[in-house]
Amino acid sequence: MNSLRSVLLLLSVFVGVLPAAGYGLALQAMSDDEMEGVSGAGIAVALENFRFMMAPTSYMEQVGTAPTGACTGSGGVASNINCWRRGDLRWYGINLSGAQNINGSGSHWNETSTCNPADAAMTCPRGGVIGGAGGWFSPFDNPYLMRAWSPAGMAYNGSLVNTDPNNPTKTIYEYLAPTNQPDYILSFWGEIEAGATRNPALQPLSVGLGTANGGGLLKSQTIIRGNAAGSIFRLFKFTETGATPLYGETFAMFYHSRLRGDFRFSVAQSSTVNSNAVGVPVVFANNEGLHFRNVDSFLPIGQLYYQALVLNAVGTSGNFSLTLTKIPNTAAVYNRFYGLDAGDTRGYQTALTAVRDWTVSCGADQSCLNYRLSHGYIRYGNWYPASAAWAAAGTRNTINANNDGILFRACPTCANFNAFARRPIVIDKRGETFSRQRTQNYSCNTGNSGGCVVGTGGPVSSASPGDYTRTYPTTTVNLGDARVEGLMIHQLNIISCQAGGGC
Amino acid sequence: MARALLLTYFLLASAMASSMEPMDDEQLAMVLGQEGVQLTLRLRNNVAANGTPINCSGLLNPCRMGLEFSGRAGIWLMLKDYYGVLAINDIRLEGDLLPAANTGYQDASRFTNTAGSCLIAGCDPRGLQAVRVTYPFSKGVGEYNDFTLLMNVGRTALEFDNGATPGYMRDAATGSVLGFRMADSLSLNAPSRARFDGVAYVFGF
Repeated sequence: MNSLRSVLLLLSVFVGVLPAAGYGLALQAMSDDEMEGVSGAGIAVALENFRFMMAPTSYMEQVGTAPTGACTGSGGVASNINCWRRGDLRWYGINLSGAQNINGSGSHWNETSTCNPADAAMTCPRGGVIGGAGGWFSPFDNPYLMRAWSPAGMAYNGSLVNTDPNNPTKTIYEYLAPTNQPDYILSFWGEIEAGATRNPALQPLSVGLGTANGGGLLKSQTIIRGNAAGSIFRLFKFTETGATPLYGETFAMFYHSRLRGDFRFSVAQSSTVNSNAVGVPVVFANNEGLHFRNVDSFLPIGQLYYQALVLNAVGTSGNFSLTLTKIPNTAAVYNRFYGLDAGDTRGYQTALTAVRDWTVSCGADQSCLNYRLSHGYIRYGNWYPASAAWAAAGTRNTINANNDGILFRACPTCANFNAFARRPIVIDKRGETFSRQRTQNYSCNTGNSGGCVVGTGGPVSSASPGDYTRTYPTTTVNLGDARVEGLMIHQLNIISCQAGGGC
Repeated sequence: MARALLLTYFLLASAMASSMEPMDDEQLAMVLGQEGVQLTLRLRNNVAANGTPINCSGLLNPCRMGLEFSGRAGIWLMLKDYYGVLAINDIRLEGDLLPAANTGYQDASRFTNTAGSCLIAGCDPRGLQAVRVTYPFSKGVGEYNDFTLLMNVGRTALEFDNGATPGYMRDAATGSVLGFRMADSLSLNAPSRARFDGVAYVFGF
């Protein structure tokens, strides 16, 4: 049964009607002949004027269990040292909403305080419809796709798969995000509760509180403003065969995550709408928290068809593993995975050519294409200093810049905090005085008086080693930009430990 | 596994949006469905009509779901103490045409096959037929009535076939990897509430 039939028949089960050919505003049944004319290549979902919101009191919860060696006391007593407490995590009010620059079009978790979703300080957790009135979260001409598909790839044994698109031998199911879409807000507020004792199926959240058992409750807010265009999720049957396979032909998952935009995590509550009661939405203070600005990331989890996430048993007590399968010791596979240029056995030159000019297409360079498909990256900020070979603009963030890179901010009415950093020394082969610890970092006056400048002394100068009063009193401190390049996951194994006994 | 399903149908004529009434089976059989439909769906899984779970506590209780994957015969990923209530309220399905003008986000490659050939004329979906899906009601501030869901997975662990006893009929693992709930803090077992604004166009090609 093809995919279009699936959706039409699904609808017909409920409603007994099917779309008509040639008459768009009414639903009519299709004949078998008409259905045979459908290619069945995919189901497209376009979303216009879209917004999804959970109620601020509605949540997803990861429920903990009492650990072995649980704490029994509280405070500075022996029974509260070197022990564990049950931890519960709750994510409230998850929403996908607009990031339009319209003052008052957004709202806080109390639903009555309004805000601007495009505010530079990311003060606004929920916006209006995505893209503004008449806008598209998923454009109809670049929609979310769900389809059975037969793309080319390489099997675990190194053989090529689906080399003839007209006669494919392997089919997968895939979900594709649009390749281009407007920015939106994904946000939630959350609770981390330590020490709770309630049975959540039988007792409400107000019973068995962690705060009554020596534990605690922390409310937080997470705001992501950007988009995930280009992300791909795939399901297929893994391709390892043989009499004693490591993984076998089992259920396999693949996710290539692409995320770009801004991120803010904060915990301070406003002075007017606050609460430490479990399950009660609050308004979080403006500005405060950890910010990542101008982030661009790509995380490849799996490759068609030689690497994937698979499940397996661990022992026989009930634990299981979630494994990103290891790259087999087969030259055809690992050469593709590493994306090496001919003659580059160590990969340095390959990496240099693949990431130096990341805004430039690989063209027909297959090694570059392979490299960029199997190696991820996380880039915070627009990057300074820029590579000598990279012509794109990059500017150094000021010490209190709030619009780029990684930064901490206090709330608007809060007092200064003292920022201090003693970064690892980068030894330049020309000597320490040339190292970035000395030449690129700020040095401040003594006595926590500020006066920070980029000089030759670094944060702790050689003239006064150990002087930790050379701080920067501020409400915003910028740590700078950062890049993680060539993020390749050769193998990853996550094992559960609580299903019965140890692991 | 105790399971209850209540499915209600409503059919909406475009000019009669304010006068919906449930239809019986005979009336429903007469429907030609020319304009569109509106549905309200209720699904209870291991939950009684009064909202309380049915025998979903204790070892080997009947509220569980097992997943057995290809290549992992005899090994069951068990979701134990599993129950929930799902409601989809007043979802409306209608026939419609996709817009006549592109959006500015157009990518024609989304409509090609693996050989690069267009699956629709000109790789251009403008004006194609689509199913238009909306939730037209409950759009005031603080209203979250389109989709409600209570879901509880009390324990998660693997169970193994043992002789003639399949793994999904065992409760041998003494612990749990994970418990998961979707609910609302207003009261015990109150379902989580959500809303969808806007229009979804669903189309195949």
